[in-house]
Order: sequence, then C-alpha cells, then structure tokens
Amino acid sequence: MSADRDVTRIVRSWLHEDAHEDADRVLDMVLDLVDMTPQRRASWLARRTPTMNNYARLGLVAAAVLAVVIVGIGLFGRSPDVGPTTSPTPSSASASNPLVGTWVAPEVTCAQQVAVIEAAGYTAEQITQARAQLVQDLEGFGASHGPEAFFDPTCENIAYEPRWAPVRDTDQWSLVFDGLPLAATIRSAREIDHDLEPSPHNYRLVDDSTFEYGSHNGKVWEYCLTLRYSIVGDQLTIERIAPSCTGTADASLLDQIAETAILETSSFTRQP
Amino acid sequence: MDLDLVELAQNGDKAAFTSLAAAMADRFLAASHRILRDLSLAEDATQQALLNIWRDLPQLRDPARFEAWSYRLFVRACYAEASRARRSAPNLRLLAADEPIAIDALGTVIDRDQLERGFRRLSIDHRTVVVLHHYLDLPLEAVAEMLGVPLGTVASRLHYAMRDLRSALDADARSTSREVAQ
Repeated sequence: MSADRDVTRIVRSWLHEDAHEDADRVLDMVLDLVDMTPQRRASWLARRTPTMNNYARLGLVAAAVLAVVIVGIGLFGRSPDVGPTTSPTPSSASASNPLVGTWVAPEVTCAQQVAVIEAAGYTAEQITQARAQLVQDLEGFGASHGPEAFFDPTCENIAYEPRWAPVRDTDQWSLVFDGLPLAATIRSAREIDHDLEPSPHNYRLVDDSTFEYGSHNGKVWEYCLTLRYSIVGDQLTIERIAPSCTGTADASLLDQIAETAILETSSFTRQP
Repeated sequence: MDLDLVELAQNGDKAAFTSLAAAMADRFLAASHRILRDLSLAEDATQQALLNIWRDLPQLRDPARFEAWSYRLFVRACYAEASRARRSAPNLRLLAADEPIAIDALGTVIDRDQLERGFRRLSIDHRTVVVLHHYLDLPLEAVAEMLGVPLGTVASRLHYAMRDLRSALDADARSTSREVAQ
C-alpha cells in the first residue's frame, strides 16, 4: 500500500524522467517576436511611494493563518489514516439555508482588523502570542520567516507581498457558502491576488441563527468555533459565541484570532 | 541571475534579454511540459512567458526580484494555456504512456500511467506547486513568493496534491491486489 511507499520519491523520480524538450526553437521564435514587441514603461513610479510598503495587511496574514491551520491539521494531524472525510449529520435547516451564496465585506485596513480583534477581547500580547505560534508552525514546514513576518499588532512589519506587485493598503474578505448542507469555503479576495487559494472549511448549521465552523477529520471536529449569524436584507453579520463546537475542546488562540479577523471584521453584503 | 543583465534588459537591451531568456527557456519549457502535460501547450506557454517578461520588464521595481517575478509570469502563462486548452478541447488528449511500469533508480516500481492520470486530475494550482517544488527543487517559500500567495497556501496545495497522488497510487495497488486475488 502507498502508506508504506515514499510517494514523494516516486513523484520526484517520475517528474525527472527525460521528456525530450528542445527549447531552442521556442527561444528563436521569442527573439524574433521581441523585435516587434515594445516594452511597457513603468507606471508605478508615478503613482506610489516606497513607504507604502510598510502598510501592513493583517487580513492577508489571517489567510496565511487559516491555510497553515488547515495544512497543519492535514500534515501533522492526530489521525493521519482516518480515511476520507465524512460529513456530519446534515441539518434539515440547511435545506433552505439562507447562508448559501457569496458574501463580500468592505475593504478594511490592517489597523481596522486589529481593532476588531482587540474589540473582541484579545490583547496585543495575545496577538503577539498567536504570532509566535504561527511562526513556530511555519518553521515546522521548513519556513524561515522571522518573528516579524506575521500577525504584527502594530501593522508595521507584516510582510507578505511580492515586492514587484502593486501595493494595496486594504484587504477584502469574502465568504462563500457553496454547499448544502456543508462545504463552506472562505476566500480572501484582493485586487492584486485573485489567485489566492480558497481555504476550505466546513460549516454545520445548528439552528436558524447559529452555525459551527471548522474542519472535520472524519471523526471529530478538530478546529471549531460556534458562531451566531444574522441576515437582515442583504447584510450578513457574524459573531463568535463559543471558542469550540459541540463536544470539542476550545480552538487554539491562533485559530480564534484568525477567525475573528475574518468573520467579525464587518458585515458582509450578499453578492448576486 | 546577473543583475546587470536584468537592468540592461529593463532598458531595452535585446542582447541582455537574449542572455536572460536563454538561461530561462530550458527550465520554463521543462516545467511547463510537466505542468500542462502537453509539449505544444508548454511551448506556447514558454514563448508567451518570455515575451511577457520582455514586455513588462521595465515595470519590475527591484531587479533583485527578477527570478521570482519571471517565474510568476511564467506560471500565469501556464495558467492561461491551460485555460485556453480547456476552452478549445474539453478533453485533453492523454499522452500515451510507452512504459506504464518501470523501475526507478532506487528500485521502486512506478506506474507511470497511474501517475499520469492522477497528476492530470490535479488542478493547475496543485500541479504547479508540485512541479515547482519537486521538479525545480524550489523551497516552498520561494514558490509562495513566485505565486504571490501565502506560504500556508502553498503548503496546503502541496499537501492535497501529494495526498491525491498517493490516492491514485493506492487505487492502483488495490486494483492490482484484486486482480491477483482473482
């Protein structure tokens, strides 16, 4: 069985098999076309200054947090061989679930998101503590980001942007509840990074105003929060009411803060 | 990467760009072939990536970031080719696997056909991460920077891709076991 195989070694070996490519012809064509292709002059010089780079964006960091949490569960999870994920018992309330659809929040700055986190009761010290946990997790992946890289409550040192990309000083979250009764997806949307990987989570309706939000490993909810939601017109607001789901331990501080940064940032507007 | 060449090419020096392109073309073609699983598409992606690099090079703010930036344009070109291929041919032609069963240098039995099918089932996002990391040997941090996504996203993509490839091999093993049992 592949559980005993070194899948990575097999895949690497397969990828490194000679595929007989010859780039010379492609290169010749490119060099011919270059003569007919004018270069685009830089426009960013005129519209921004380098100091804007320091404007941190906690929202993107939270996306990293979420992704790391998910991967952490996947890679270092307690039960790697639990088999395919199974769905929790479907809720009859989900048949007409008003949550289903796409919801978009207004753009927010890093400072605004930090304010939301602090308003939820978390201190700068806890945010820093969560950052330390994240850095530790990242090191588990072989990353070498220093402790300055993520979750900086001062919004001065969060560095997660390609230096060549245009800099925005806001983030924008969207939530996609795209399945019945499960399989909600949370997605971070940015003007310059439309290809950000959606971070898949599951949700489970508890009743008409409450849902549980987390990951399910086939046996238990491992990463879970209980949230209250309210839909008025085309506006969705979400509030965390418990740091765990039914029958689970509390989510980690890192998870709680990451979720707060996203879910409680503001109200979401339904998209057509 | 020679920064002088990058700066010269940014200023329209075609000889400098020729040197840069020559250094990139082999890797781009090999990587795109593995991502797209089609040599013709890979050639188109490589050509478009190199042309885009030439065209947009003056907009690169930090020449020291040239390599990561150029890979990002390369990946975008691969995505564009994959999208174009999907539009024009809903079912991509499967490459014939000449030798479905082979023994690698370490003695592992590799079912190329099974791997090929498993790999083709991966999303373009997942294929790209697998190739950049396991073929070009780029660290995940570098892949994240090239793709412009968080490190956790890259790790997630790689994890799920490898899980799916493992499943593909598992399916093959189960199938073989059943055949033996019969």
